[in-house]
Amino acid sequence: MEFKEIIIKDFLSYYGDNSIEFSDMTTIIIGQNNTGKSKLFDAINFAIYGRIFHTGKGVNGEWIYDIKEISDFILNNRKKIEALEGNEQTVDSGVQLNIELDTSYLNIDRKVIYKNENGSFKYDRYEVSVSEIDKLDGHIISSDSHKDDANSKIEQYFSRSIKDYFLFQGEAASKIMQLSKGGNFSKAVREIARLSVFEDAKEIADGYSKHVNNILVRKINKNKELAEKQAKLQKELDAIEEDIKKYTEKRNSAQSNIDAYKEELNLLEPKLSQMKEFEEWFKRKNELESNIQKIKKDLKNANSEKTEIAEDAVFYKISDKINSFKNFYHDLENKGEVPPSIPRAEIVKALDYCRCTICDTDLSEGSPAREIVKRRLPKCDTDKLGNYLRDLNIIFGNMIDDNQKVPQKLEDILDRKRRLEERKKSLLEEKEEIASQLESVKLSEEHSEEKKKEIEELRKSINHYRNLLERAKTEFDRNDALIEEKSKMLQNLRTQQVLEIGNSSNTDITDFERFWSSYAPKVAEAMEKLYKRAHDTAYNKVEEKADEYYRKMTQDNAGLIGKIKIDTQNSEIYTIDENGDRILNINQGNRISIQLAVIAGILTIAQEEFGQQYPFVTDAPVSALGGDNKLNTIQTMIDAFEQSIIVIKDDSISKNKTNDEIRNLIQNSSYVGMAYELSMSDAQTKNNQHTVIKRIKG
Amino acid sequence: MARDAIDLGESTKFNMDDEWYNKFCNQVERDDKRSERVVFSTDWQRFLWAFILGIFVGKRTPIQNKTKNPPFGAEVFKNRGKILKLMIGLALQEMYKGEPQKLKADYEKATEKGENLGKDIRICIEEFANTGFAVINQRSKEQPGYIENLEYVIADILSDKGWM
Repeated sequence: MEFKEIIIKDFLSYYGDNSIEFSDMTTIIIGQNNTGKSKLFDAINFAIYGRIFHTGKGVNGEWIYDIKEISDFILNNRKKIEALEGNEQTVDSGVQLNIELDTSYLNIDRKVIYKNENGSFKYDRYEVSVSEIDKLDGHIISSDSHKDDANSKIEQYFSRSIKDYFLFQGEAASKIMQLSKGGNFSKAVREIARLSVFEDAKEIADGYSKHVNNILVRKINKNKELAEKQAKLQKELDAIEEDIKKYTEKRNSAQSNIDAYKEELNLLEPKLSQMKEFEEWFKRKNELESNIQKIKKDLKNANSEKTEIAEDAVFYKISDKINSFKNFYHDLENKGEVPPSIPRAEIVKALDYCRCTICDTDLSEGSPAREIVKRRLPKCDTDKLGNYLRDLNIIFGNMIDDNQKVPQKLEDILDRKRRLEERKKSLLEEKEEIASQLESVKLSEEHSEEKKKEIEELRKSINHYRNLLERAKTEFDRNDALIEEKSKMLQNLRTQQVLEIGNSSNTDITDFERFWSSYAPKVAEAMEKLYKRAHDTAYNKVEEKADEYYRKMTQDNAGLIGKIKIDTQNSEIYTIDENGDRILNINQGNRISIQLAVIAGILTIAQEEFGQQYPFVTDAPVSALGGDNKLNTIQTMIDAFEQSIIVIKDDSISKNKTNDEIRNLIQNSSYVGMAYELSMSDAQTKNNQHTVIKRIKG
Repeated sequence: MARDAIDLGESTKFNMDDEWYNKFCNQVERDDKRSERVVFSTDWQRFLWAFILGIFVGKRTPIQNKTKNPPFGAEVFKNRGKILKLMIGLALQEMYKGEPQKLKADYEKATEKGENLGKDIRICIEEFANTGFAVINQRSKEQPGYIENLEYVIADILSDKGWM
């Protein structure tokens, strides 16, 4: 199956007739925000399934199917204004999609017709038509213009259960990843693995078993003793079945709660994960700010070391002169110019005793020492110059010691200064980087408080739902265990019932009836086993394929490791490390890679099972993936599907070079057959603006 | 409080050549990052460095054209007594090199007149600083940013080379 062409008429941002032809390999459509990318995706969805994605509905947007609701906003604004000005009575808005099948072409035409009522266009009717034309001779194989017939015809080719997988809308990802029973994912796998065959077989076997039992009961009733025994058994069986029913209801209710809480968590957790990145940035930014302040303070301190240089270290320059002061002082001392400062009373005492009381020098009459002491006597403790010089000698002595430390001290200062400056430079660079990251998510500082509150609220909600989820899981497990226990009891009683019938001497019961009464439950059991095996095989196949794609998508990112795990037990999809442990804290980009890989996995298996090739159309937020991941993801999609249509944001106006790589891919890859660039027309008012399609390749 | 044997006097101002005053002192840095880059950020610190360079060169240069408003005086050294004493000690060593005994005689002579050696020492310090400013001036020509750049000054402190 291949999409050949889409013609969009006055639909959403598309004014007039707009045709886009698709390559039989890959078509890439790029455009900046609000240029009509998602509207194109809506157009394809509208043509096939009569639905569009309403971003304003629900928490993360929802698909809407109600045609009246849809009709409220699909008519192109410019067309509406012009038609009213031209007093046109009817206008229509719709999409035609031309598809090539193996031997025919399928043309789908879906539109809403509006009627002018008192100067405004109101919904008038809704038309869907499908025609199938033979490829060889061009004759019309079938043509359905009745809505229901046309929709049934479309459904023959486009399974509803996998619609969200081959038409992948990134924002609706959390919903299609529901693994729980009845969820979209399990519905898709159920269809792919044809599990309904086994379910039907089990139902038939159970039904037949009951039918035979009814016959037997009627016959047994004729044998009073056996009838009593069977009635007693039956009563027990009924009680157990009633219990099972009760527990099953409780389990189902717990399961619905689990689904609901998971759905909430699926919405909230990615948000928190994204917010966490903001939080990390803010945290980092604050850290940087405080580090920069600290560095500034340290630098200031380093500057005060300059004062230290000025006050002390400069004397190192004249170390020779500082050292020589000692000699100068000794010269003075030797010449008696620097007398010891001894209190006068001590000197008088020494002269009286003829001996120095301090150094024991002989001061007897006539001795040279006595003469010197005598000469100094009048000046001794008043000899200011001596004291001053002695003081200077001590200061110079200390300076000699200090000078020895100066080279190392100065080296340390320079080294510290260098390190501080380098650190400051790197912090400033980091700060700039963080600022640009914050800029890139359009998150200015004044929003930080707001975001913090939002994060807090999200955390609270997540914790709340996690608690509820845990309780629901416990409730589910408890009831599940009770059901299992009761089922075993039921099985034993049934065996007993069958044995009693088999051993009874009631001759009315035929061998055939005896045989079926024991065989039918076994058939039902066998079908259940087959169902389980087919179910597990299908999940394993999808998991294996998804993992293969995931590896390809993330091959150049050493940071992304892990294997995809589809955990049916806990109804979750995640990645596990080499030890089989779940990898936590995955970011938004990684989440998208996982989703795309699983979707590609499901589709590949579906294609193998159905023998039908679906084009893969995606409006996923591939732009959110990192550089190499983005290109590898696109390349993986190109490789995985015969035809793929990739709608991606064009951010070449930003500094991100990756987009240039996408343009290079468009130009250089032989797999990309066609490419378009969407933009908005120039117009005076927003209402007059419309999507302009420019073919850039093919 | 008793005065030291050598006292420059509390109101003493250190004179300097008007050329150096205009060139190196009383400079108002317009750049608000001044404190980040100027090594000898105050006038007395520059004066001290000039004095040391003068001692290093070993030459006294009499001041020819005294500036009218000497930027600082002994009061600056009130809490930096050690520095002032080192300067005085170095000045004494240079003044009485080879004839230390003259110091006592000069001191006693001055004391008799009710003075001390403070004035002679202050002039000695000023003249060495005057030589030093010439060194700084020359160095600034060779290496623009000298005196403001920590690396240059440290290299100079550690170097045993002079420029005159």
